[in-house]
Amino acid sequence: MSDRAADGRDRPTSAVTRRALLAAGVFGFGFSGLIDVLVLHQVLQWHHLVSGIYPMDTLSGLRTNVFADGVFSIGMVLVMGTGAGLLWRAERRTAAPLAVRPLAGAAIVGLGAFDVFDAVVDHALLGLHQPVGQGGQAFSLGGPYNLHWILVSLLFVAAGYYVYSTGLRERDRDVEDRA
Amino acid sequence: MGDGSLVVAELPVFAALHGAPSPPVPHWLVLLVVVPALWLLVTGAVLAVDRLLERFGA
Repeated sequence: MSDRAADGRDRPTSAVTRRALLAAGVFGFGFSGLIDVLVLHQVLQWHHLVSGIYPMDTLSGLRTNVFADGVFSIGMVLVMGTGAGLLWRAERRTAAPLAVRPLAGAAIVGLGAFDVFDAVVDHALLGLHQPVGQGGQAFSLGGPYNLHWILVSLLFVAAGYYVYSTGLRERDRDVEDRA
Repeated sequence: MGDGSLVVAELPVFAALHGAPSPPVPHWLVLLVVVPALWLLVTGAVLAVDRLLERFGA
């Protein structure tokens, strides 16, 4: 093991840093869920949370879907708020400010993780809805655009990991410059 | 309605729907309870998860 790895600069070994990364990931997960509801469910109205079960084109079905979207939004606000609170507490515990880029990368990974979760669990396994149009079927491929959805979500995860790892390298350079 | 499409009355978009049935409790009371409750829930979740992470050494 090299000296760099041994002194912990190659990866986040301090509890506070790990905690901050986890918090940023939780924040990104909740933020992504909220953006999903706001943009796809409410503005574009491509689908609703349970439009695979309750129709979107009857008043009672639409009311049920709007209610489910609202409950889901509250849940995502709780997740996002919890992530933000944990990040705030992690930042308060450090002597030096936390590096931003690794945290941004963790948040983007969390963002992509929500989309993967949505595509695999909500679209494919449970059939709650599909990406475009109403309908949905449990234990299916999740609708005609779900594979595209999963691919884009995985790209988000990869992009987040790229930002995270380049951010760590940047932090290492900063540490070396100061030493 | 037979073709499965949603039929609703033409209503003004920006005007209040006067005559709509009012909820059993006043709106301001709902807000007064729900908004602080959400903040409390978030605070409680932060403290609980923080303590859990502490316990598991994260």
